Amino acid sequence: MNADRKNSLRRRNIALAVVLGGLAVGFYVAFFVVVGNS
Amino acid sequence: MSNAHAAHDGHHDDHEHHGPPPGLMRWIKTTNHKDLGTLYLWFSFTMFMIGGMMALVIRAELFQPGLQLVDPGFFNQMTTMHALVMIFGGVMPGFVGLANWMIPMMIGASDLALPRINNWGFWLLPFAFLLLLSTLLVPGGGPAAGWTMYPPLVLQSADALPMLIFAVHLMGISSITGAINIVVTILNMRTPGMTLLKMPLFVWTWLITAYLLIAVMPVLAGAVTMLLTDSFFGTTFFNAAGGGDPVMFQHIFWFFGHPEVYIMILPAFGIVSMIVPTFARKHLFGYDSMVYAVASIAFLSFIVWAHHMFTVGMPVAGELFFMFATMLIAVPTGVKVFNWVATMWKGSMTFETPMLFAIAFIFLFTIGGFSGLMLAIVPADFQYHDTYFVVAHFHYVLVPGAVFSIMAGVYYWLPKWTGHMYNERVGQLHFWLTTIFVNVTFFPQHFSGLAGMPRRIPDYAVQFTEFNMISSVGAFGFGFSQLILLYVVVSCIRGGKPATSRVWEGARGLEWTVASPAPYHTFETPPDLPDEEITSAQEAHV
Repeated sequence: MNADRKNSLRRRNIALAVVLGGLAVGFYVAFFVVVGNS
Repeated sequence: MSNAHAAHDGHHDDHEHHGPPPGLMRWIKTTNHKDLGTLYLWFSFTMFMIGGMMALVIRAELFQPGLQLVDPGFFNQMTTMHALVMIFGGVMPGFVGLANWMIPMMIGASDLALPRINNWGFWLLPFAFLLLLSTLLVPGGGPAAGWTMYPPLVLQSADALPMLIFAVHLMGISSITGAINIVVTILNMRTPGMTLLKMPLFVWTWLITAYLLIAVMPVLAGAVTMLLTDSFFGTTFFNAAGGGDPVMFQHIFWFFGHPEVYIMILPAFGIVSMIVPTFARKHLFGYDSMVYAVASIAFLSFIVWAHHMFTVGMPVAGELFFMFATMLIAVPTGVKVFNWVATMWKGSMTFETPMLFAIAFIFLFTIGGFSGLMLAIVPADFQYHDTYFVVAHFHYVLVPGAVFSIMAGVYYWLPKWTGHMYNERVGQLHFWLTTIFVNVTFFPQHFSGLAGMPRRIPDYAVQFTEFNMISSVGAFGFGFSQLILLYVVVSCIRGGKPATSRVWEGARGLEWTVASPAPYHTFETPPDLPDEEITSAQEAHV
């Protein structure tokens, strides 16, 4: 695999991981807000 | 030789010098998916042994009515810790180990997408469980309120509580990082030509499981954080005196807990869906419907949580909704069972150890599924709730279900990992002893439960004695039979008949195109996807 393709794949991997990690953290925080206000 | 084979072999020649570094640091610093898969699997086995010993303490105490061996407080610690260790330390890391080893090889990727996070995710686990197990040594002992950690009881856990909560957070972080890694790997790193509906079923089930993990582990983390703040920072999330609601914890916990059940069974469906076609020498029947069934089960798992708490008191409309939603899960689950049977139908079947475990899985998991349907019926559940019938139900789902599938997977892929065939006779001995003893252990618990024996008690009325004695004998037989598995695995690592690349005559998929043992680095160049390696039924024109 050439270097450009490798870097592009790495960027896409990190981007998707950040989105998914953000979702997980978002669920955690949203949960606190919802339950705390219920 | 297939193109994939050729691509791999070329790569292997180039990098033969590039093996793992020697010594202990290899295992601490490794970012290699195969090394980490091995670590996860050994960790899982160790936890199975520790959790198993706790189960034997429970069963030894319950061999006779009356208090014999341990005091009731310690008994409660054993039931709580047994569940936590088995669920978070045994079953989940077992599946993650199999995913680490196999998913990159199945989709033609060189490794998981985030190898350093993979290392971190694994190495959180030993510390999490060291922390959890060390609660047994602190004043007041370990947590004893059950793995469900219901307040207000769990808030009496003294010094163990913050340790338990921190350990659960660590396990959660490990699970979430692992899940993110798996989703990213599957979505971004499949070899060209492997569309989603050409992926092996094990990959599909893990993709959906990983989404479930990302969705529900933060919920568990939130719930235990609230326990922490209730206990130490003056909040009253679950304290009625301060305007909170202890029943709300149960809703939150089971919103995590029911999808967690499927987190522990969907990868098992994937493993069985890989093994049955191999030993039936046919393509999997109804590949698409299998994928949709897994997705349906995952969706339904979010809307059935309150069936764990029918007796807590809820509106009849709520009970009806959760009852019918729960029963609905039987439909996609039935699709899967019938598809496995249809795959075997008129197949050229042989019964090596992985296939024996897979067939036992189909039979025995279905028994657990049926008792689950019984428990879904609200008026019946009022009778069964918190009895040994529930214990029998979830052990049928988790032991001959999840654990058997892990064992099946280990036997199936062991030659690929070690390069040696395991001893088939000893493997089959392990299977038969395990299967007989698992039924001796758990089947009588249906009867004691229906007769009214409550769960989580160290003593019981004398009329339950015989069923408990049988169950305890079975548990010791089951526990000691697992030493045979240890023997098989260790002797297979040390030597044995060399394994070929494909290992099993009927096996299909990219993982079987690489040498056995699988080289340290595989598929650094994405392989071609030859038609004969495609696992999807319709692609193979069956």
